[in-house]
Amino acid sequence: MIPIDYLITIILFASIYAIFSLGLNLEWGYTGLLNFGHVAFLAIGAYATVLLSLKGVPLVLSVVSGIILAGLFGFLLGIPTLRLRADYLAIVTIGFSEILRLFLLNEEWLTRGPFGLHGFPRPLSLYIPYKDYNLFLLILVLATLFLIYIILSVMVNSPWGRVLKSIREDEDVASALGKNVFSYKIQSLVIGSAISGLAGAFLAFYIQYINPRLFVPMETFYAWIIVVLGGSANNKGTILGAIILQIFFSGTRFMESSVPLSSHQMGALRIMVIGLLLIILMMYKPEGLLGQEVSRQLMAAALMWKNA
Amino acid sequence: MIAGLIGPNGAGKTTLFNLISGFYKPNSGKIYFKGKRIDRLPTFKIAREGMVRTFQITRALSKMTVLENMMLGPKYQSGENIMNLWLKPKKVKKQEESIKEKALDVLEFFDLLDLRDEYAGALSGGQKKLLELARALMTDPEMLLLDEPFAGVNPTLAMKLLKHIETLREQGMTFLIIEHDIHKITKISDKIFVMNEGNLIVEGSPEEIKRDKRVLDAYLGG
Repeated sequence: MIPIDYLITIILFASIYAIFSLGLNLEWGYTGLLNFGHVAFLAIGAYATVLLSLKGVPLVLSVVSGIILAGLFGFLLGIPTLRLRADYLAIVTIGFSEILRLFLLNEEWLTRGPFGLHGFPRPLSLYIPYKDYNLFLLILVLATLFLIYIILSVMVNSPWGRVLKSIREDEDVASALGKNVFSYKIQSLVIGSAISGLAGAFLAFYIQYINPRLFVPMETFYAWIIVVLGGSANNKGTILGAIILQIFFSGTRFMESSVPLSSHQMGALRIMVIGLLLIILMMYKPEGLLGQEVSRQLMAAALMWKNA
Repeated sequence: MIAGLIGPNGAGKTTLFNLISGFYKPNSGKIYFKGKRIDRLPTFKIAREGMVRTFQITRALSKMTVLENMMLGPKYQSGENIMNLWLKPKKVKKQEESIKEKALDVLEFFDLLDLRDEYAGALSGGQKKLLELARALMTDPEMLLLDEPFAGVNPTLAMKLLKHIETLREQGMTFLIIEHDIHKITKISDKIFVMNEGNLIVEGSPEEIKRDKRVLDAYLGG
């Protein structure tokens, strides 16, 4: 039997990563933006929330500041890159995420560098017994995930979302139809980054200790795996992807005792297996598990049309 | 009115389109539309002025349905502003309904109604051409720039497209059409411009163009 505490942990992690990845799905899945530095916004959200609350800023305000700051950095990175082609954003964002991580690592006066930060306040922690706290946090995170899911659903299914999708498909067509492509890309990047910032705050609340090692580029690619696995441009798929990835991680951790490998080797093997699974997925189901799919049926229908 | 733009390969027809529609910025010269200078405007603003282009190689938005493609067209949709989604949801919804109604009408006009829920990527080449024209019409343009609308379209469909364009002209729309096929373009155009090696070499009525020796030379490389 899996102990209930452990189950809570798994769902908590999966939900936080789901929120984190929903931000990326808006950017990549719906708008086609290649953000390879998504983890930077997770870090900004986490560090801003923690640093401000340690300075005595009310917690809600700290979280909101973290969200706004993450969005602001999305805006600043978007300004020079989003007028250019997709690859520039990818290069700049991955560079930014590493610069930020090194900044957090080295500016010890601000972040205590590699020692990280702990002992910061958590929402309502004075009123909730410590042993029940994870359960409370789980409810809070799930409610937030649900809310974000609903908000995103309204947005991507609106005329606004339609413009994003048209930019993903062919931005020249969008501008030829009078859409201000640059403005929409910025909006998408800002909102995606802000969502990631919120996930960062939750991550900090959950693990109660943040340090720069949490925000390595691999985290960005976990979000990519989650989005691609579930199916780009499908928010349900993203949530499913987050759950699957978390179960995979936990499951392989269970196996550690029965496999003659060190935990370090196991970690490397885990990533290799993920890579292999992604390759297989891309070969047999490139649209992801739930995919916004141009389904085989549809393709078959199209072929029949052409031959008719 | 329908103006035809012809010329041999490499004459600069599509480049001219890219200049007019704002995809390229001219090094020199000025471009006016309805008395307003547009050569410094970004593409999307030129489109909002009422001049919309299509592309030589069709650009259907593949992973969007035919209906979504169409509904993207109209300018100034309130639901395209993110704040309005939350502040004026009723207005957005109402507008969305009227846009949908219009989209269905236009799709019917182009015989694409049955395909409305298909992904645009699943249409045939000719259907994509029709969809692109139909989508451009959704913007309520005053002038359409069509880049080889008949290329790769089977003769039956081409005839239909031709008829659609003539109907729209009667409704007062202005066209500038790039076309390789001199016979087709002389049949529908009111006026024809002939380009070669980046320059305008002749302009005139279809009859004049047919008789002009310079046109023949340009095409045959004389």
